[in-house]
Amino acid sequence: MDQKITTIQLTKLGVDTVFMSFLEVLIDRRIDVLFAIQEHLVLVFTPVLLAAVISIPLGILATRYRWVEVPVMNIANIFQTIPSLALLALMIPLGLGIGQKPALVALFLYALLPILRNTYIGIRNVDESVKEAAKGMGMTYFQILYMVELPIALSVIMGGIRTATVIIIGTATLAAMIGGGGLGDFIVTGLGMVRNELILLGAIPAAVLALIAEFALGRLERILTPRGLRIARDS
Amino acid sequence: MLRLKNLTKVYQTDGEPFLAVDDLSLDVDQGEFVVLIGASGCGKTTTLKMINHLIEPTSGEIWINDVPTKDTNVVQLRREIGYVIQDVGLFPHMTIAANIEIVPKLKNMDKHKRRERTRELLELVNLDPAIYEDRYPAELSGGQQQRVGVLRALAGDPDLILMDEPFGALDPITRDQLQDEMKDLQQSLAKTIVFVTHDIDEAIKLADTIVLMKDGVIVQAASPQEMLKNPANDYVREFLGEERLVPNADVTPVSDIMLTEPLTISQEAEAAEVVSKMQKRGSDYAVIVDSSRRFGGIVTAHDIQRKGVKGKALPQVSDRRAQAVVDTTTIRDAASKLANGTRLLCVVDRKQRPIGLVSRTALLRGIVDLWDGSKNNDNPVNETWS
Repeated sequence: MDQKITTIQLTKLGVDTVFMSFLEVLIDRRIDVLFAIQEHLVLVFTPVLLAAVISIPLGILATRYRWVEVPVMNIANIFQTIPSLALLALMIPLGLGIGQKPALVALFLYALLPILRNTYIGIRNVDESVKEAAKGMGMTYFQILYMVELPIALSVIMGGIRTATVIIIGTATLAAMIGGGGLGDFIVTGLGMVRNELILLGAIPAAVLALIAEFALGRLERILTPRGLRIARDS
Repeated sequence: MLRLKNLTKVYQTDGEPFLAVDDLSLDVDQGEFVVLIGASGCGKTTTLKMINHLIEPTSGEIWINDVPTKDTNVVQLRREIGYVIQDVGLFPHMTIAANIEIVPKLKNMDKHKRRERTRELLELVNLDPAIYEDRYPAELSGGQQQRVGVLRALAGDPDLILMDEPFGALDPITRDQLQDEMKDLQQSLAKTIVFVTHDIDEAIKLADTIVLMKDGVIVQAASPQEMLKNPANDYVREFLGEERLVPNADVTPVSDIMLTEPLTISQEAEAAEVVSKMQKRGSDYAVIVDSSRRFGGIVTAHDIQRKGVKGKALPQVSDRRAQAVVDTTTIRDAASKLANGTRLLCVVDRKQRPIGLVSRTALLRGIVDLWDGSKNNDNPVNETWS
């Protein structure tokens, strides 16, 4: 009976201790944390934006041409299958060395697939009858694309960007393993020094960033969904 | 208006050539309602889609208003041709008004003019613009969606409209309503329509000319009445179905039983002149026509005697209970009009010119003849009305 209480109290005390020292470290190194967050955001948004710029046109082309579809979808799939840590580590033998640059490249490759896949599916899922009507009424190839296909597919494409962003926020913490910086630095150091509060100093802001991104981009996705499609989806 | 010259389409399926449309030629007049019909795979849809170049013909030519379509830019061409498909294909992310205004917008029509026209069009099919213009396709029933689909095809004011089984996905009652509305729209707007269906009843109801196709060639092209009276061969007979070949009130047009050569008078004629003409013809009725000989009402001797004051325009004293129907109206439809208070029907041709009259007596006689099966189709009932 006595022993049990002691264990619980100890556990409780342990948690409190970690939490207390986390807060202490957070206040103490707030400038470092802010800097790491900024570094982390660069590690997330640069690859995601680049991946979007490349993937959206590629995804559209893949719906048009089979000779684009097969290689592009397969290559993007392969990047996604490689474990994220391995992909980051692979940058070193590939001659990119260590630091932020190889981390950006690896994260970019990782962000390709979700956006590519959603663009492809979004455009593919536009009703055949809608496209036939558009063509039959005298829309040009590009008018069909930007007046019909892209507006209808936009929310699905945004969904891909949201997924990629959330995944990359998590994966970017591993960039520290190859010297890429970001919030992962605290985690790696914390692991090395067996200091839980340092691990939390990296992990908690990363988790919060992921939640904020999920929420904000989810909102944006909904705002960008045309009203007519929202009604169609809800009914 | 539309001329198909030796149109041929060969598809390559698994390396095997398949002849979908075989040296097909067809002339369509301005304002004509042509229905392409046949079993699936007969080439009717392929023929339709070659007209707006959604399918490129392997050989042959398409002429619209004396211009071969291959000389026109295909995008420009399609903007001048209305197109309605079975699955409607409204743009789900656009409002009803935006959907209707696509072609005017592509043609850079003024924004206010566009909206004005949209409202007129919506009213044409009894969709209140105040309620519907800002709605989205997902909020409309199937029938309403296809009405909008038809309006979208009309919005660019094309002379020619192509319709690919537009009512095939609707329930029978809705389909019936849309067919009626379509026929009315086509007649009042004088559009040329090429319509694909596999429903023979729909073809009989809508068509001026039915084009029956089989294996990529035309088996028979004729008016519904002509086709029912004189099917070209056993295939046509089988396709029409024996029950439709027996003359009946659902398919026989009023032109078969009308009183021909009605007395016509100009709308400027004086009352005395009209009465004297009526006396000479021994007739109680006269059809008023305008300067282009179009139907303008019916006057009776009684009307003139009662209301006719010197100097009063004839249309003002005309019988309100008389109305015009086109010559392809079936006896059944004419009967329902006469049963609902109309005293006299004036039968007019496609240009609204009177060609006959149908009274209740003439109608009853026509129906009795149909029953007896003794009617001679080549000699419409002739009687002197008194």
